[in-house]
Amino acid sequence: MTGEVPSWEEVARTHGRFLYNVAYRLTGNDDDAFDLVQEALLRVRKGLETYRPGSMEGWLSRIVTNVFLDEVRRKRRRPIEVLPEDPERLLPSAPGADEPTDRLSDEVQLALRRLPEEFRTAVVLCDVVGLSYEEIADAVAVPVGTVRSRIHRGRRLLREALQ
Amino acid sequence: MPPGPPGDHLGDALSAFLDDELAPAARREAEAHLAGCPGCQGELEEVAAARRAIRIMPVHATRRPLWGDEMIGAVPGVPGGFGIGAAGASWPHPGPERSAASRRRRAAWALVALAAAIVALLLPRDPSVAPSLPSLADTHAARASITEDPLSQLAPIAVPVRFGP
Repeated sequence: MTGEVPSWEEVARTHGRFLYNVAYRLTGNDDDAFDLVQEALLRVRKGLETYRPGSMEGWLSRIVTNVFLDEVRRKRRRPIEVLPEDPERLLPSAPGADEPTDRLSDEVQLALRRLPEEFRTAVVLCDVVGLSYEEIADAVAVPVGTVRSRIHRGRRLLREALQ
Repeated sequence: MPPGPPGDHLGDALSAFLDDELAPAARREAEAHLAGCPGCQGELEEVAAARRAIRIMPVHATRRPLWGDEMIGAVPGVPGGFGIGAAGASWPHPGPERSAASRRRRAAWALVALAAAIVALLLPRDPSVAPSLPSLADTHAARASITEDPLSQLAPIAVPVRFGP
């Protein structure tokens, strides 16, 4: 990258794969993950001037998480009828790169998808992105103690779902 | 953050323990508690298994063009084709739809090119461009001889041939 603050294009090309993976773990399906990445890239471009050189992936994680939580809040305000959750819908069986190849990974993803959003977000930011509790607290604007509680409860629920 | 009052189970401090998020003193307390508490040991194993299951998941990729040149360049009015800015209202676009539109455009241009080629073939040729085929045949027949012209050796008599009226 040139200079300390990368261009939007550089961010998109270099970190797009990372963004998409985080978005997929948060949303649980490809279509929503795609939309989430698109909106996150929009915000990245608008906010790039405010970026301070540091952990780019931490910064991007905060953005994609905020987009995700905004969408969760929006849906709560204006609930829409949703299709019943089933593995076929959550984990598309169409052939290609989107096709899950690891059965265990499928089951974990499904269990992750069924966690309450707050728990899922904390768990994804911790175990997929690798943020510290303090960084997660900053990203979702809650105290560190709340982050710790959400991560632990999320993991316990996940474990129960996988057994 | 301390694991909790003495005698209590560790609870969510177990995850903090796994994630190395406890202060040194709290970590020592947690270790001491774990050494004598089968319940917390079992819970630690449970959350550790969940944590491991998530962490070993492969990166999930997609073949969709999230920011490909085609999509980026399609954003109108953006210098360099990479920005969104004022054109943000037209963004985002679902990748598959964008790709389908592009394929349709390419197919339309291919049809136009094919039609142009067919029309070109059907148009009458301009006789001034080169000697016409009938005149060439006339000339050849007039000059033909059995000994000099290998083509005429195949015919018993050199007969002038005229094509067309």
